[in-house]
Amino acid sequence: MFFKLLIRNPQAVIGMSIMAFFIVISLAAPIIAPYDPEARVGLPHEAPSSEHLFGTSRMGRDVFSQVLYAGQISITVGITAGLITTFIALATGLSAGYFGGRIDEVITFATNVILVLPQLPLLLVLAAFLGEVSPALIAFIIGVTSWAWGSRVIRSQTLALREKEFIKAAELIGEPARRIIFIELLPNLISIIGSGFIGAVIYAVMTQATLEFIGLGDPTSISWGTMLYHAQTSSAIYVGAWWDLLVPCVAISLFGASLALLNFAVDEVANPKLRAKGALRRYKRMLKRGEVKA
Amino acid sequence: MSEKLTLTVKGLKKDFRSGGTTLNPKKMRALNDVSLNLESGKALAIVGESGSGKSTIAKIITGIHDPTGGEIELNGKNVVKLKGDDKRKFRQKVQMVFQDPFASLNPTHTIRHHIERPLKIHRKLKGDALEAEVLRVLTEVGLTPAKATADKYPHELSGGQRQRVNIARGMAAGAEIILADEPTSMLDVSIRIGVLNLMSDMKDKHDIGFMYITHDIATARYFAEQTAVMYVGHMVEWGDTETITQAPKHPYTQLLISAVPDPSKRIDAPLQGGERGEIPVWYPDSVGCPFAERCLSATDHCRKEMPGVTQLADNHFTRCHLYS
Amino acid sequence: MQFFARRLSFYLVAFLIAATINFFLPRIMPGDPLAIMFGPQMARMSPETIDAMRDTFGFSDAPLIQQYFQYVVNVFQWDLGVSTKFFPKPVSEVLADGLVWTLFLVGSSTIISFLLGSILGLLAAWFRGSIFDSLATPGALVMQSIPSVVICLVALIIFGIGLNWLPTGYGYDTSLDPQWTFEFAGSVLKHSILPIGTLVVFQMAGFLIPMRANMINLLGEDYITMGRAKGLSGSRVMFTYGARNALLPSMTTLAMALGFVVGGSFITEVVFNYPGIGYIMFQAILARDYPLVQGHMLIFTMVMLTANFLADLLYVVLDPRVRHGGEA
Ligand SMILES: Nc1ncnc2c1ncn2[C@@H]1O[C@H](COP(=O)(O)OP(=O)(O)OP(=O)(O)O)[C@@H](O)[C@H]1O
Ligand SMILES: [Mg+2]
Repeated sequence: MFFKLLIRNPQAVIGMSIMAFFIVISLAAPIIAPYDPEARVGLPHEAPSSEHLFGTSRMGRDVFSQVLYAGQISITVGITAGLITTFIALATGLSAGYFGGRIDEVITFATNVILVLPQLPLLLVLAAFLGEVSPALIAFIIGVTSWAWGSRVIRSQTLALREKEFIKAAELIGEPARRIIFIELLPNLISIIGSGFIGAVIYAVMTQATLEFIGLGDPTSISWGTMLYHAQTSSAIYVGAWWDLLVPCVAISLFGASLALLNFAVDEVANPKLRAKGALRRYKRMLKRGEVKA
Repeated sequence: MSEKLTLTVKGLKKDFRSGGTTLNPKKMRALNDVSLNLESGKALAIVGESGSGKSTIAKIITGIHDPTGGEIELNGKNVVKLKGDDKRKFRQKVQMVFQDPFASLNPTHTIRHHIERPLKIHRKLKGDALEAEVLRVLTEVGLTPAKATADKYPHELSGGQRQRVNIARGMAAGAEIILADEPTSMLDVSIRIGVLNLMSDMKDKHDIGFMYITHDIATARYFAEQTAVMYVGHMVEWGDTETITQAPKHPYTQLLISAVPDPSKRIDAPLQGGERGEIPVWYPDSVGCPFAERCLSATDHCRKEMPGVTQLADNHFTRCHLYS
Repeated sequence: MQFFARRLSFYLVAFLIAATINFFLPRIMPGDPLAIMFGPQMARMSPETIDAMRDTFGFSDAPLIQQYFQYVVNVFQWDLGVSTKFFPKPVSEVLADGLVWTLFLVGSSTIISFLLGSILGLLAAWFRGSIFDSLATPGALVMQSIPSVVICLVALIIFGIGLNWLPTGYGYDTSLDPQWTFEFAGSVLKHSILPIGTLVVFQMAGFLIPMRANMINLLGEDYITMGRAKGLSGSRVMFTYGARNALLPSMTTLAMALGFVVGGSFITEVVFNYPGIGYIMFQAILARDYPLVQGHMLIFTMVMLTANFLADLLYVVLDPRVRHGGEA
């Protein structure tokens, strides 16, 4: 039912289409890409042409081929970090909310500490000490530092659900805690988990781009972030090679935007209150019947 | 059902925190000295205004709340601090049906799930036997065609049907005593009688014992042999339902009955005649008869001392200074 | 009062944890921690300086716990060592220079985004379902999900280089002397337009979205319907009844957002070479100036904690229930 509502939502459809498009072209990069992304196949900073659709980089590499392959790494890092974040948020949020007591105190404390520590500077310090960080390591450090917000949301939802009569009823028929958590509670949290996951992926893609842009990533890997880094360090904009910078920018933005649209739609569908309803509609009806004047 | 079950509650007390600070909490007494008996094949109606502590009794028996004092025994065996397997066995025998049929079923699971789980947990059924039993139980509570119903989600059923699912869940567990907390109060008047008939059937055919919590004296008369009248956490009159409804002795019961000539009317509609004060909140250090504030026959004595239990007839008791 | 005591001790612990991370990072890396911390710059330092640095960061032969204690005491005295990049300036001094610029950037952009975002959110809620709403709301979300790197670069390409309207580097025209003159102030203002503008674009959604949600919830309340039914004009009801109540939750987020956006300002400063602490951090990272990198994290932690404390204050002012011993 949820899915059906989602399909009917135009924002969701646009979001899902763009996202699917990106995933497909990145996966199909070896087939679509005209050149080896790491090979010098042209002159430095050639403008876009039929031969090089998005021009070439300072190193004479084909920007179109690069952006396709970069998608593989950037999207994988985003999804991996998103999965780690969501998993930790879920494990901590559910345990804190359902078990309460000591467990809750410890988890809530850890959550609150992480929330007041500055995320980006913390990541920068970690990455700076780790040296040139590989994409896998980036996914990991983003994942383990960004679960606190999701954990808090899941905890408060779990607390509310735990008091519901259907949970009490399940306890009364003798369901063990494990089943109550995973079979009775969890399915009721799906929309929150879903939008939390999407949010985490957005955050991870953005943060990866940031870290790599300022040169903390591994410059030999090809991702949207390292493309930005190379374009920036070769002063692409100042020499007029706008495509070098613009192409990864557009890729990141479109991918982020597609996720954001999807997330917006999920919220809208899951939280009926945000749909046009209530007083406004009541008021409009009254207006129509002539009971009030505008 | 081989052996007859008796669930005995003795001197039950329950305090809830009501305001105050963490270090210096204020307490209110939701139940004070409540004692009652439930038996297989019999029904006990608990009648009283909103806030009189009816649900709290059921929630303490099922272990949702811990009692502040008093004992609960099943066939003479204390059940308050049961753990592990004993707790599971007790839960199997004593089940609860909640007031709100919308909130008591998990919206993300089918009806089949709700019936299967107790069958798996308590009767260890599997495969075809499980499916057959699911369908049998659903048919038994009148949810036919059973197969189609089993595949539905809670939001696809009406309130009355959902309440039947709740009762079926208790049956599937193998309950011998069901605590039904206002099972019909959120249903349309026209379908209440169906649910009530179903419970009657189960009581007579399957020897299940009921605690029937209600606002509605007419249905209590129709369904329950025994009735207990509650006022602010106290049992004020209890015994044989016929006697209590035909010849009530406690001034509160009299007020209650006279106020409800129309059986469909809830008794929390404003009471006429005897109303002189507000319904009090009871505290652990409150004294006197809880009804004294509103009672037309109250004396100073009533305000100072809590009346003891008086036996009026073979199966008719009250707590009132008028009869002691 | 109990509430504040509890919050303050929590912030103290949080700060301690940040310091602890700093303490352990060089020590869990393979190799000599002192060499890691100061790298190639060690050669340029006099033996006295190296000793002073050892002292600050607790590098000694003493047991770990004693080293830790020494480090924490120094950090709490705001002795963060000497920057290797801006040698021999102490880290705290380098950061203090940058903080003014960052606070200017962040403060003004937060206020602008708050006002703009709240008003747009209000309008989106009021005209729920209109074309404006269905463009502005997802639009804001999309903006929020584009990395600030991209926003900054695009702004730089278009306004700074393409159209050449605005200066693209540093906090003021470097040919001027930093003095209290109109010319200098004008230069500062002009140089801040692009950084502030991009921050606003990035931040605004954070105010627009919650404002819209709050307002929609409030619109369901009867007094709004009543206000309209009584014949009050639409804008009267919207501002006097709705906005006031919908704003309260936003006010507390405001202080929190301040903390978050200090992190967001990092990239802006890097792209526009703006002389705040973000840009200093960038230079520190490039030069592997670890004392400065660590000091930067600590000062950000301080900013976050201060912002949170302000949010607490605001919360108490707005919600008197907390003052009387309720749960925080
Ligand atoms: N979890 C709780 N915490 C604090 N007080 C409670 C709690 N549950 C019940 N109470 C209080 O205990 C008293 C009895 O409540 P209870 O729900 O048992 O009443 P009831 O007779 O079932 O009423 P109703 O007919 O409205 O269901 C009420 O005053 C209520 O406010
Ligand atoms: Mg009740």
